[in-house]
Amino acid sequence: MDPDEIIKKIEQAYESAIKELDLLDKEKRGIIAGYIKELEARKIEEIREQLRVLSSNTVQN
Amino acid sequence: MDYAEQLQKINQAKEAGNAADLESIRYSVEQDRLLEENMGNTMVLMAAEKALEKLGSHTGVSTSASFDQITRTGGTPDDVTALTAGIDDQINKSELKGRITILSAIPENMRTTAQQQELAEAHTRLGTTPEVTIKSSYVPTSKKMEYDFDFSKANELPDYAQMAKNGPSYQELANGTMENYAGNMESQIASGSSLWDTPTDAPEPMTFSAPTQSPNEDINKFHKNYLKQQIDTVSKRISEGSGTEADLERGMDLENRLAEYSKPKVEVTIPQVEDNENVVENNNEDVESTEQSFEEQKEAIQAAWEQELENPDVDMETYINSRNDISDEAKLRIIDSKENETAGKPRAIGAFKYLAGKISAEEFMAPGKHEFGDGTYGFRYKRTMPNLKQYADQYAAAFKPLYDKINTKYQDQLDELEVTESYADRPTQAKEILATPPPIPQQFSVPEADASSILEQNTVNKPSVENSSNITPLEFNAFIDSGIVSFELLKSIANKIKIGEKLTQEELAIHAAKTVEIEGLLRIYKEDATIPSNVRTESKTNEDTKKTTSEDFLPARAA
Repeated sequence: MDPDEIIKKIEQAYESAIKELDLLDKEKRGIIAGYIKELEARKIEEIREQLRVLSSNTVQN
Repeated sequence: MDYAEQLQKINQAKEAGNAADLESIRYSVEQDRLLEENMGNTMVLMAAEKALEKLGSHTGVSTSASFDQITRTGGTPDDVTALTAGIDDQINKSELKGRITILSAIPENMRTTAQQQELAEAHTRLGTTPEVTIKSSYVPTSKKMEYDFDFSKANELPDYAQMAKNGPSYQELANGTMENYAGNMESQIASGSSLWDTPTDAPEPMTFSAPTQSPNEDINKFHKNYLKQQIDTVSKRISEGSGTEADLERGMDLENRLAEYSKPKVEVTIPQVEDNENVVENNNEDVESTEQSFEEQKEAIQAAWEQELENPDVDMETYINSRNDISDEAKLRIIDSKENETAGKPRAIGAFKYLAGKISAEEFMAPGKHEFGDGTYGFRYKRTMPNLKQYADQYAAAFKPLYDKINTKYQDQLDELEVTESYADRPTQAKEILATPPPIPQQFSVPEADASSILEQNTVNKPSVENSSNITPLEFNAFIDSGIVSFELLKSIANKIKIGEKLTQEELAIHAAKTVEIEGLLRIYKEDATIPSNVRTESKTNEDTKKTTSEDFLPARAA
């Protein structure tokens, strides 16, 4: 096998590895984004709850 | 490297017969080749390092950048770490796999020690310890590589278990691979400049032999005709358009050898009579040495033939022609890579064996015993592949011209040697002639007691038993060159005239030059009853006779 062929094989190995890593990174971003969304949703829910409490207290007064 | 320029230099040096120049060119070419080989290896290593570096610098997803947002929304970094632990593990494994794939793409004998260590470490971290652990070391004393195999994990891998089930055992496979590897390393040790222990380890300098002329003119004549005939055959092929580059080269070689005959040759001197014994002795030695050298030459040609088939020089064009697996564009791209000439060698060796019917298509195209390795002849075709024979034929056809060229070259040499050998009996004949003792020169003075016996031998009534000339080539040549004729010969001619026997051409020539002397002898014979008591100086009455008796050898008058 000549050097050009070896280099080509190395490049292919790199491309393949980096492609797989990019896919996993995307997946990881998705996990973090999902977690943040979940946290945000939870936070929003908390705020809404607080607002609801405030609103009911105001009505009672 | 400019190959055309190098070729021109080689041809010039060959024409001039300058071995020193040829050696200098060979050295320069060898250095360039090694440099290019090293450059090729360096490029591979650089490409691998670059790929590994890029893979390592792959930043991936920065979790810290999201931490603020996570904290603000009530999350904690630990939660994120826990959530991404699985994917992080996958990412790490993927990167390790990538590194292993990149490092594995570098041929084993090209990897640096650091790369070898990194590969082993990556396998360990990934939990895929190599199936075979090999410890290798170079032993300078024996100039061999020594290997220590660990097969403890080999059978755990399903692929190899399958291979072991279908074919030879894994240990054999691994050993086979390592033998090839060891072979490669050893050949590098033998030829690689960086690994030569001493200058004497370097390959032998290139040698060549100039054509020699035979001392036998018949052999030269036949050889010249043979060369001319061969030139005509080759020229005809070229003019008809069916000639190859090999034909052109062969034609040039034949022309050069024919031109050798135009050079002046050393004149041969006729040996003196007294040196005759030495001549015969020397000639015997020459004949013996010629017979020995034929055998030696034949063996040398056959050995060189086998050696060239086992280690041919594969030019770029032949190699490119053999690359049926790549496009024309790719061929153009790799044509500058001189590394390919080395790569073409195993293919050529395989093709030669295949063309000679020594190996099958499967053996020729077979992959290496290791999954990543090329086969013995540089291919990786699966044995079960359909149309394997067709592929083998195609590859072999690319090397056929080179195969034919090598075979023709050595077959011609053997043919020529055989022809020369068939003429070797000529010197033997010459030896026999020279071995015949020359006539002993006699003094013209005959002792009185022998005079009657001389007369008895030369009487008119005594029938001659000689029907042909007794003149040896040596005597006749001596007569032609210096006019010297022995008395015995003159007596023989005179006797023939006396009894009326026909003289041969040589005898007539001598008679023409020595008429006076021979007539004098005839007169003596006529005086049958009155033989002079001493024919040398005592015969005072006959001036001619006196003259003829004053010399042992008589110079020619009209020679």
